[in-house]
Amino acid sequence: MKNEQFDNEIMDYLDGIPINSNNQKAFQQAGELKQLLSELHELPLGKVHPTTDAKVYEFIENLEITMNTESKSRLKLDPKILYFTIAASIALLFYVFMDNNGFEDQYRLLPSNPEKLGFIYDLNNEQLDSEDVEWLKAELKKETHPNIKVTIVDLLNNYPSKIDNDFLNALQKEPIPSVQMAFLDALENSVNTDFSNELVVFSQRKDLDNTVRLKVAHILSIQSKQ
Amino acid sequence: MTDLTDESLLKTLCNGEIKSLGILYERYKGILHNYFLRVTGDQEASNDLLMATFERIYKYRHSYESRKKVRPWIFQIASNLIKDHYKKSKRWVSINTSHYKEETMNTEVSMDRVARHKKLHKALHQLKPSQRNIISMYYLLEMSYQDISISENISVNNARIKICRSLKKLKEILKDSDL
Repeated sequence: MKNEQFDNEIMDYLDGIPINSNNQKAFQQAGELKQLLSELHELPLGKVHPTTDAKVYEFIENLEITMNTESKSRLKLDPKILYFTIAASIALLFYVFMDNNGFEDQYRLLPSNPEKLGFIYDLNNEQLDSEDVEWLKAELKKETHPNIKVTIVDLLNNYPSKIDNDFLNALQKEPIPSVQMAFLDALENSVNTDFSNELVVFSQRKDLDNTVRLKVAHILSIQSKQ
Repeated sequence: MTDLTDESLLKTLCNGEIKSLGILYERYKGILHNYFLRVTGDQEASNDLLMATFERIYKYRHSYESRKKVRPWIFQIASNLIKDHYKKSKRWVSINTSHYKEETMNTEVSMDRVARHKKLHKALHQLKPSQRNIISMYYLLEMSYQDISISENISVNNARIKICRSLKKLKEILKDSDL
């Protein structure tokens, strides 16, 4: 303990906090370490090798090509999109007359993942009822595309009272860290009671990403205070 | 676009604007490369780790929480990569001194100073990788104690103590080499 206090006094000094005690030894050592830090700051900096620059830019370029290809393939589908837009309109009219679930029907008619992603994202501007939320939860179970899953989870995050054990079970089965993080964000906001036991089990998974593990620890610490 | 904050760039990246990743790379490549170089002492590994950092930034872009700052998030990714590197590689003592050769060619820099830098560099590489890492996070990346504690999975107080003890160890190694 005494050593810890001594080291803390040194760190206070390095951080510019005046040492309150008359500990001359700490004062002297802190001065020496400050000198050492300024020498470390003076060490020459290395430059990034041009081949690394080239590799990173090639990686970025490939991502752009992939994105563009996706956009072009969507353009090729234009006549189909028109067909589906008409079909969606008919489905919408059908909904008006039959009092059916509109969002679900419209979603089913979408031909590709980017359209589905955009549709789910736009639902953030809508007020969803319980039926819509249940439908989204069912979609989440079926969906395999990580970005769509994250977008659905983010959307459901706006309805924390609707998040239940299904959600927790989905987290346990989810292998992708970005989707796991989305689930954990939602669970953090959930008004539902204690799910710490399930989270402890989840945190023991050996394949967990460190960021995910830290997030679980953060939620558990919040829950323990409640 | 180059005027955008890091936070705005990450948001645009999440919305499909891939160019934002290039701007973030230009902003962070220098500091990250030097961090990797200081900790591993290996030019080739540092280049690979730099590349891997930006692959991870892209891969985990949706896990970034918009309320937080991007800088510590990126450094968190980098320090996690360093830890993975510890586990995979036992190659820790290959000391790279190529930048000292460049420094020697600069006539304004005294030979004495170059010698001091080489000595300090050598002493750094006699520390344990974890000690070298925590010192670099503190003085080079200027990460907060909070962020260092998260990265190392220790308390804030422990992070302060570890930094202090690693610096003291470095000082000790330098003193011994003077004898």
